[in-house]
Amino acid sequence: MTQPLLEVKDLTIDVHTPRGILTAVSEISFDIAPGETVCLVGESGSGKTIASKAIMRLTDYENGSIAGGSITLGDTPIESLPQSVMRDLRGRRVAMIFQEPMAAFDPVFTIGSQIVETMQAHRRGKKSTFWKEGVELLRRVGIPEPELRMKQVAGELSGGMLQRAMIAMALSGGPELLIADEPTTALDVTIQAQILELLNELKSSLNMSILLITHDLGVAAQMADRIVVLYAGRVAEQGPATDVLGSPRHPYTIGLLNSIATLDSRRGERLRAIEGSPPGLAEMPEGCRFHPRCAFATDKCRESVPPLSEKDNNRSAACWHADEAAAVAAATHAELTPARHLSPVPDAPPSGMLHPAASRQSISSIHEAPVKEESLSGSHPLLQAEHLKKHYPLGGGWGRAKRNLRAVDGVSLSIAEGETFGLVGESGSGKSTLGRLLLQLEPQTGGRVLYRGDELSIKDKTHWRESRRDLQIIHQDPYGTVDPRWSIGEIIAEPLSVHTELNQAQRLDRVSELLEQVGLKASWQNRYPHEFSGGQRQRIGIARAIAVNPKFILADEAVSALDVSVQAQIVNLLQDLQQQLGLTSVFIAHGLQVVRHISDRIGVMYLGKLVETAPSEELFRRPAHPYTRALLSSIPGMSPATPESISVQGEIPSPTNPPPGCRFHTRCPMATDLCRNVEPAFATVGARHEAACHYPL
Amino acid sequence: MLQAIGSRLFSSLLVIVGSLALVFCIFYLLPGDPVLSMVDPTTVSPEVIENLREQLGLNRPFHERLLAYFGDMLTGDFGRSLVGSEPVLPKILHQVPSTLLLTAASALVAIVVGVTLGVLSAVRKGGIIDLSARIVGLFGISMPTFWSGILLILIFSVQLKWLPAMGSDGFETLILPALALGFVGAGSIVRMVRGSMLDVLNEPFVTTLRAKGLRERLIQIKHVLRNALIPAVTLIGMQIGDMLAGTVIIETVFSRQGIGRILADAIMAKDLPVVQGIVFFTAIVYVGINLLVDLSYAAIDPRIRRKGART
Repeated sequence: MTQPLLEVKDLTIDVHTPRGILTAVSEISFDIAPGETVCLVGESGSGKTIASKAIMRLTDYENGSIAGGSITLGDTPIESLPQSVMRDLRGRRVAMIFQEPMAAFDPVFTIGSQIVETMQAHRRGKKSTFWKEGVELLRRVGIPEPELRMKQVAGELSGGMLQRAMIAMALSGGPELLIADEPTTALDVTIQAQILELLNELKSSLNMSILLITHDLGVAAQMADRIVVLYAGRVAEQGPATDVLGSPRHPYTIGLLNSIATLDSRRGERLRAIEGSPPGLAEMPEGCRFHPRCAFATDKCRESVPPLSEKDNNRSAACWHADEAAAVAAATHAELTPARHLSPVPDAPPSGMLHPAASRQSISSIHEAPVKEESLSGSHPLLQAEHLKKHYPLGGGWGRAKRNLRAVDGVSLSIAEGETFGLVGESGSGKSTLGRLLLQLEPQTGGRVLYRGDELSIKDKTHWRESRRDLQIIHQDPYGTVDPRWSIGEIIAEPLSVHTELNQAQRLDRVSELLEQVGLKASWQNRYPHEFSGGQRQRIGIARAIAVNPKFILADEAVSALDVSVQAQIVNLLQDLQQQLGLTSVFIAHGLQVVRHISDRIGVMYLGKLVETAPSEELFRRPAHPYTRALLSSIPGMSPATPESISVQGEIPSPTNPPPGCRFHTRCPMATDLCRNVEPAFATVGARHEAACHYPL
Repeated sequence: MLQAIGSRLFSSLLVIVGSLALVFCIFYLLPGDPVLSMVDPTTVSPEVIENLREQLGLNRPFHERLLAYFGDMLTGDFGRSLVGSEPVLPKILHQVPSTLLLTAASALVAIVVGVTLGVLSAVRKGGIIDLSARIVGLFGISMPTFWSGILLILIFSVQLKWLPAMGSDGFETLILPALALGFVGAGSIVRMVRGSMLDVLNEPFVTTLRAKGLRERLIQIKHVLRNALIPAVTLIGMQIGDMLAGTVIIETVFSRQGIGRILADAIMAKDLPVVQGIVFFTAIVYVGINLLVDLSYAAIDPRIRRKGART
């Protein structure tokens, strides 16, 4: 192997907190060769971000200190350099991009001045020369009108543009290593695909190494040459991407791969979630840190830390039972599906990208839907929307023209009793607003909502109040949507005292019952929300929502904020409850695989319009709208080289001024004059399959 | 931008008119007769008193008096003092420079001390500078000006004999009152700047700046301070207004000339025209300061600038 560009050896990082010194990262080792992409994969608390910051010695500013081990960049020992020397390396030899591009730029300086400032920190030269160089960099990363963008501030650019600008700024020093900390997590899936593609292109043209930090195995599969899986501050497993994803050896990696909903996981079937949640820094288990959640755990695991033992082909796993786990994984793997979405085929290119054939196969191998759909199509609609519109007025006054933000612009749909309807679309597509209109949490601008055939309106207060009992919501942020000063028992019991005649004792019984139903302990009802983990809080949110036996539940990004392993638990819980309670639901999410897994039928929204609805399998197998196909093609881990895929350029236009004709025409590779002028009707293209496109695929 | 200034000016006008009307109403409702405080009813005949009322327009109904009053204001006629019968406008204008100078000097003390200590204590959080800055902040906020004024006189005039205790001539007489008045503002500014700097230091973009290899000093002064000043500027504007009001007390304590002092005298004597004149003047200064605050927002924060410019 060639001399590595970066070598991290037995790195241990302490964090100084008011409660004492905690060890965030323990003895992790990995290295990166020139031109290589290494992915650090892990959930919250795994130490992936702090480890990446330590390479820049940015941990020094965040109460962290390197307590042991070494970091070597080329020949430079980074762990012992004084900050003054370190400063010269930062931005020049190693550059970094971050998760929230909006927050990563100083809001009061222009993009241009921040790029120029970076150059000035490392080189001598005229400001005007640097400015021109900045314009070229912005052009290089695919930003239209770079001269104009240089003069704008962060608030005036979209997230995707800002992340490109961030990459341009990182490139300004000509770095050998680019550290990308969850660079696409805050972005829409289509923009994510563009940014990942840009990173790959830059890497090969500039021969730059990339250290990519991500929680998304799909992103890792698409980008990584090698993968390092971190769990609770230790390396669980590492090796070439194809091997780690294809034949995982650590039970944690196996569990992670199992718990994600993939394009060919059997719909309606339970995901195989990992029990429990990742430990906090202050409560690290003894021995192997994964043992409390591990099915293979023995006394040995509880007592001693397993070493990271080299297997072959430069891969290693820190597990006492790696061989056993690998064997079991291989067996279930074979039984599970002929072409697992994330398992690279034997001849996969070393980039870890999926072989084109595999993706095609994985789409065609999607299992046929169970019989449920047949029974659904005949049943009565529970909730209907007719030409629903929501316009938010903007501006106006002082001679300015009044404009409307058309969040939802004429949506009709019907949700059958017992059905789970998934809503997908980029941010700004209006899916959350549509959800809120369906529940009549705010008044619509036009159209109407029917519940069991009767009009439901927020303005009809008595009827509306009664309907609250039947229509409930689960929010994205389970902590922000409860009163932190109420115990969870009080939180769950509140809807009971509003909507039922139960007395105090009966309410307590019901709360205990609910807590157990969502997998919590009945004795916890006197605890407060801050005492729970994210996944547990979401369970509390679910218990509150189902307390009054609703007929309908809106789950608005209910699993999006959760760790992958916890997400699977909540998806399972939601599915179980739906079956037990006969719930009808709308499931809004940006994770397409999760939506497919949980939904009977899916609606795709774009700029306030519903552009396609179809049964889940049908939608993924034969998307009729180019936008739907583009969304599916953007799912990371899918090879963009598949002939069926469409890569979508640019970004979603502003809903204040939607394009005429078909709203997608500005980004559609198939757009014609007809699309530019005439709005396509929402028409049937197959059984229970509608799309609004002049040229359905 | 111009539009924004235009709308600000219009609302400023409303503030001035409103405050004048308010003062007028307060004096209208106040018990006691200004004429009786001008003359001695035991020696002057009731006819003379009635004549005087007639002359001053005090016997006309409320709305007529109010309209007449605004009419006079528009023509620049601020009336005559009820006490010395001298015209109000020259009397006030004569005193204005002294008060403005004191306010400006106090503001300078407050801003320089407040911002410097605020920045230092945020950057050296937990250190000795931080501790002393927080003590300064605490004292500034909790000590009334008349008390700190007297304390300063005791130390620097009576004990050390470094600076004069009273008077309004020359630079030396300005120092102690400006310190006493500025200290109060400095107290709250220190706390605000410190807190706001600490908030901004935790923003993700500071990590970006470090990752770019910028010097820590450059990050603190150029980026963090500028962001932190946005909330602090509001406070500074309000503090300057408070200092203008504080001159009433400080000018008395230090026996300085100024409108603060004649205001105190005029209130005691129920000298309505003088009080009204001073309120008018103060409202203008106050509104002017607010306008400056708004403009400096735009200078610091391009987001506000762009918003104003958008059509």
